[in-house]
Amino acid sequence: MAEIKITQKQNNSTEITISGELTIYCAMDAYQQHFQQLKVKEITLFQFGNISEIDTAGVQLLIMLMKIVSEQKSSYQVTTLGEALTDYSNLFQLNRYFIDFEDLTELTSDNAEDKQ
Amino acid sequence: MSLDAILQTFFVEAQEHLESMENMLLKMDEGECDDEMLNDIFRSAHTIKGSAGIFGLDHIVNFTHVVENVLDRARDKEIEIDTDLINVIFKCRDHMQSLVGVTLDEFNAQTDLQKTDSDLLTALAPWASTENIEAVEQTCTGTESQPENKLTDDGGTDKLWHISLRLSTDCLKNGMDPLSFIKFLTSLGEIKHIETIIDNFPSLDNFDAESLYFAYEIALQSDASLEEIENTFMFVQDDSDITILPPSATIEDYLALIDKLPEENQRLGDILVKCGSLARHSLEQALASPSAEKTVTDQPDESPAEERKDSDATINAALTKQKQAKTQAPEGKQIRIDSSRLDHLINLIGELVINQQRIELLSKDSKNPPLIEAVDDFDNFTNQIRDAALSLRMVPIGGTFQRFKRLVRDTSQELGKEVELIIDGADTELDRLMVEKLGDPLTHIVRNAMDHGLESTEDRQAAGKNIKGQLKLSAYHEGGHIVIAISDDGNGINKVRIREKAIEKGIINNDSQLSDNELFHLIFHPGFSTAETVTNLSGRGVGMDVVKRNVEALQGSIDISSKTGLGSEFKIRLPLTLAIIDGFHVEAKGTHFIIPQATIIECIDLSNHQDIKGRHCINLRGDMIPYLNMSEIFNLAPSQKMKAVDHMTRHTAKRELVIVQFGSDVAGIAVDRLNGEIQTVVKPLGPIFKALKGIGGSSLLGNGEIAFILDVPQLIELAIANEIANKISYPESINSPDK
Repeated sequence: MAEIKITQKQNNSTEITISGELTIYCAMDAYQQHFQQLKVKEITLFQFGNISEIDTAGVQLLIMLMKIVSEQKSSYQVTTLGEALTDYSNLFQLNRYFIDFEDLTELTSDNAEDKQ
Repeated sequence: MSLDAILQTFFVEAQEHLESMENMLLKMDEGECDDEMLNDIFRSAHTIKGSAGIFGLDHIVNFTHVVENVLDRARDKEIEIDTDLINVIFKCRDHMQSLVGVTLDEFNAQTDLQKTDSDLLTALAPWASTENIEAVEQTCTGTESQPENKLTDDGGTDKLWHISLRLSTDCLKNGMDPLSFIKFLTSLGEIKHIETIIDNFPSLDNFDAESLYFAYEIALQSDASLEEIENTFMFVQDDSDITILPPSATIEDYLALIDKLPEENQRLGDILVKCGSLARHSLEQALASPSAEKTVTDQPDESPAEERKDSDATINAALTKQKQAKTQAPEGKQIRIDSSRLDHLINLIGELVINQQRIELLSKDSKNPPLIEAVDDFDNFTNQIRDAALSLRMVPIGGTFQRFKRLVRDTSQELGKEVELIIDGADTELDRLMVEKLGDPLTHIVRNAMDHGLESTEDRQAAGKNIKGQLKLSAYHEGGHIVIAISDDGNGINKVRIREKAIEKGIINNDSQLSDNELFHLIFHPGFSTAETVTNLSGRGVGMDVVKRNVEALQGSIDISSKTGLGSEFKIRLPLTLAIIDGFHVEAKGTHFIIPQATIIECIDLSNHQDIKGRHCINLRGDMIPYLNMSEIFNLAPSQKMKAVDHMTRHTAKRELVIVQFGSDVAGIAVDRLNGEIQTVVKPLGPIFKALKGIGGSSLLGNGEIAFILDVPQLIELAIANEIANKISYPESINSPDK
């Protein structure tokens, strides 16, 4: 099961750390308990380095998380990616979301304004 | 469909492929060897490997990969198919069957399986290429061996396939992760580009973390066939929109794809260009002017898409086939259904039949002609529904017979005998439940026939027979029953030897007078065996009694005929179905009985016939017919209802005789009343009734009362035994009160 830690920091940033197995078995709980009502500050830092296992449901959840953060006009950065997510990202060529951040606006093209 | 259901489908399909492999190998073993057979075996192995890969069953993938490579070499004529290779492939097939039955964890825990794995991979080594030998060694030493990428080091072919995936949103919930498919695609070739489309993500409130929102456009460079690529998605294709465009696809095909997909055209076009599947300028021209599509295609163009347009016509044909398959899929002629669902349907129809009988009784009581007519129509349709439903569960015996080809091959090699197996009537259908339970009895009989029935090559030669022994499996309908006959042209059953052995074992006395049939049936006695030597095939006297028990449990019987020097025949006679039968409703002392209609020859008034010399036997048009009296056989006392009726009507003891036949035996069943034909839903008897002989099951009548279904073969056997014993007095009850 994934462990999710959300820390609101003094420097106007929010740090979201996810570790363990982020799979379909916990995706629903993770979304409902931690992300559906998530409020973030101006800057959001993602720590994905300790995700030991991830599947497509888990990756979708991360994309959704980025979408939530973007809609709150928070600029975000993935500080650590981890081996499991790197492997998935390389296979599905998703690095533009997790590493390059080039197409981030695409994430919110329907629902959000320009990212700060 | 849940993951368990999908896995179940994999097991069933793997089994079918293994059977197909076995059949092809048997043909090759018989000397029929052509490229198509080899291709079939290869495809079976490949499909099993592919499907196993999707489920992460690496133990199957690793082993099958090496087998597949050897088969591939044989297809490419790099190696020659000889008997030794066929023997090894047979063993590999058997091992694959064992592997399919275990999970990866179970495989890792079972050293004997691992040893077989390793031994067989070593055995394959002489036929494997250097590269394959390395794979063999890697697998044997436990190092990872992944299916090879079909591309060559220099980038391989330019065969660029385009795969468009819009998988079902329930895909993840069903346990199918696109990750598995994409990983498997990498074993077929190189993914040049994959575009994960996230346009379908819903709003925050509508997001379901277990639904799939990703869509995929994939460019795959691969030498694989369309079928191989399609097989990757076999477990999700029903609820998904999957388009596979071959390297030869034209721009019209791509435009049709763009048109079909839900995303915006220009965006999709851009994705296809990114994938390298389309040239930018071709796309722009085509999208700008739909009417110019043809012109664009016809114009010479150096884009990859246009280059591929000239690819061989075969792949175009494959595309057409794929399109046809997709359009035809919803109207497919066959569907696969879980057998438990079919059983549930049959049970429900059984309840329908019982209720229909109740309505029929009520309608007759009402004396309302329109209602009676309507109920008659209802009855007619119920019968049709019943027959249609039962036919769904009927399967040809051929599948079971086919399995014996292998058994006969292996056993003949083991015994050093040459045996030809002839199969006749493979299309004959019988209830699936019976087919499943017939495997073991047939195996015993076939093994016995080969071991004891057929002579050695030398003995056959000395007897002036063809050195190749003949074993025949046949199936046919006979009087409402299915007959499965196993015959051989061996030496026949040695009656003298059977008699000696039976006396030696105390089964019969020295002075016992037995007919040939009775003598032959001694082989079904537990522990009976006349074999001079005990082999690992037969000769221990264990088996034939089990055979008889299994066949009788299916309401069937076995007859044996044999002629010295000419051979023997075992005939297994079975009812068509065990679920719902056409019965004949009779009463004895107020107790209801059902006689299976297929066994009935006629009904006569017993009071018009005289018993011969006080025995339970009558002369019917010159034939002596022994009979049994139901009320005596089952110790029946008149029911309270019966007593009341007798009292009111001063019921005289009129007796009816139902003449029944099973095989060549005929006997009568004496009852008090004939109530007529009735559809009978067969319900098994509880364990408490296990000792009750002459009863095969029970059924619920329309009025709510219980009727017992008579086991006619058992009753006939008893009637004939009584008659042979020449008992003047009535036979003793076979069901004493303490039973």
